[in-house]
Amino acid sequence: AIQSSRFSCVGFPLAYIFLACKKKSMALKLKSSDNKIFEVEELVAVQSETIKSLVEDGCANNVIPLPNVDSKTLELVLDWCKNHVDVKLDEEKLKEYEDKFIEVDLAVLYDLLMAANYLNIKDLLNRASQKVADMLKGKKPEQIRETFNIVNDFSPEEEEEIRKENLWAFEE
Amino acid sequence: MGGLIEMLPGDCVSKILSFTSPTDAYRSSMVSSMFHSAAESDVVWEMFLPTDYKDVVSRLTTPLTFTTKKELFVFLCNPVLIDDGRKSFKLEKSSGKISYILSARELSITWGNDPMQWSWKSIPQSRFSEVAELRTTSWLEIRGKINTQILSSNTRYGAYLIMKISNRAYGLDSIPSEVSIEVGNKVCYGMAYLRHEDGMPQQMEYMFYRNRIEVLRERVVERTQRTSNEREDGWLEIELGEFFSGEDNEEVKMSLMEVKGYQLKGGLVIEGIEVVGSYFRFKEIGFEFVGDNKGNLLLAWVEQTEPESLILGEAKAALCAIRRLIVEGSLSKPKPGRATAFPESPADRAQAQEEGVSQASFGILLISCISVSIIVAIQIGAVDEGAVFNKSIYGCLADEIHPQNALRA
Repeated sequence: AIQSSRFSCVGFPLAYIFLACKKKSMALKLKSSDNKIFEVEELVAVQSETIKSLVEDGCANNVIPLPNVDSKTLELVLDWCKNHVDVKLDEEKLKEYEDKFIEVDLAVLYDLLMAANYLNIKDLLNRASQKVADMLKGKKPEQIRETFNIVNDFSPEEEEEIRKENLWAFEE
Repeated sequence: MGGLIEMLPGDCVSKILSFTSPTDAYRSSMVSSMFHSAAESDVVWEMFLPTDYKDVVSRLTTPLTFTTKKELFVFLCNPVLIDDGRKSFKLEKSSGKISYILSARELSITWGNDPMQWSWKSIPQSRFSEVAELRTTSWLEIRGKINTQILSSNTRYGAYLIMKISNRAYGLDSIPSEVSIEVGNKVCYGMAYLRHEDGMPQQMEYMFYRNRIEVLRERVVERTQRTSNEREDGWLEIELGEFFSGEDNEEVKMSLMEVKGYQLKGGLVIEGIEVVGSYFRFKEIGFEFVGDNKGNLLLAWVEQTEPESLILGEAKAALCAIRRLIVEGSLSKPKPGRATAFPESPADRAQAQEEGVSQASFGILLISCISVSIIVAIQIGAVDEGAVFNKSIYGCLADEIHPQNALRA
């Protein structure tokens, strides 16, 4: 017993110092499209599969440029990642966080979608897609166009053809 | 924020569509050319297909080749025979929910192998190669089994006996048959007369044996009565009961028995048992099922698709109130839960009998019936917290509305 306690006396501080050093050395620098630098822990950043593969290939020593993500979006994305590092986090709290996180303007939602797609962050991509999907559900084509401000680029002939194609799905 | 969605990569839009439903995907494909191509993607249709679709495809009686997942989905929306033609499989085209029809050969029919009592024959009206025709028996017992694993998860299902009653039928409706659904240790009983929905009782018999029949009827415990309905395929169906498929694998036992009268009966033709999402019955008018936070109680819900044209006046207001409760979080869609039979407790059943509302047929009648039960549930719920509402459309809607839950804001 004495031996083990002596070991822990020495072991704990050592481990602590070791971990602290490791943690520090694991910080990554990300550069947004508008040239802002974000310093984040590796654990947070590697939730992006894209960044993860860069780290694994040893390309993450310098600043990682993310030309497709602006600083505003990147900040949001990193906030999401920070909150998803600890998988043991209370499920209910996490859900609450996600629900609040995703309550944003359509324009921000698109930015998040594109960033999540580019950075390959699965849970964020799913949550954002789900959010847009909920806005789309149960709507008619005209209503969808209105909601998302989409122009109908079909010629009348094409439209008729697609209508026919899908006719079976609507007939009772 | 105009036009931005068009800037999203196509696979992003496909991803979004995969979180909707088949109906939404069809509709979306009419929005614009970008949506059209996104809605064709395998990413979308893979999500709508059952997780074990490969297994189902390998069991098809007639082998199938397909190139896209959408093509496969569309194909499976028409009934296909699997397992050497003993079962029929189908996806519901608007939701992708799985349904099965178990042929008579897949059922366990007591004395089914006795040619004096049952004969097996092939008839043109059947989708299967054989049906079971009752010649004569005193002991009518038909049982079927299905595992919830092969059904869509967290879905409310109904089981229906598909049959025909021939003109020469006798003894079938002297006393009611007992129907039941059993999931785990929960059983839900009902009773049904084997006769046409508008049919007169087999009168001659009633004239001669009236007293005897009255006595026999007393042997059957009075339960929620189910009537037969004519199906689109020309057969008759009788509801055996309902259950919630949950997420785990549970065995569901379904049965129809008439073994208490001992009178001889004949003239019944058994096609099989259909296990199909009860959701079907409501989808035309935009209803869906939801549950409380525990995930085991359900109620009907109107989708945004033009409720104005369907629901009238107060009914609409009541449904809006329920929708608001759902939005506020005191009610939610069913969470992954255990499979269970409906209704759930003996108390529920007792209440169900007491109220004894008969089934409504489709159309306006059904709508008004739904409305009434929902309004009642909300209003009474305010004064009587413990009340359990049990009755309604198709014998199922209001059994799910527990106002104490609905009103706990």
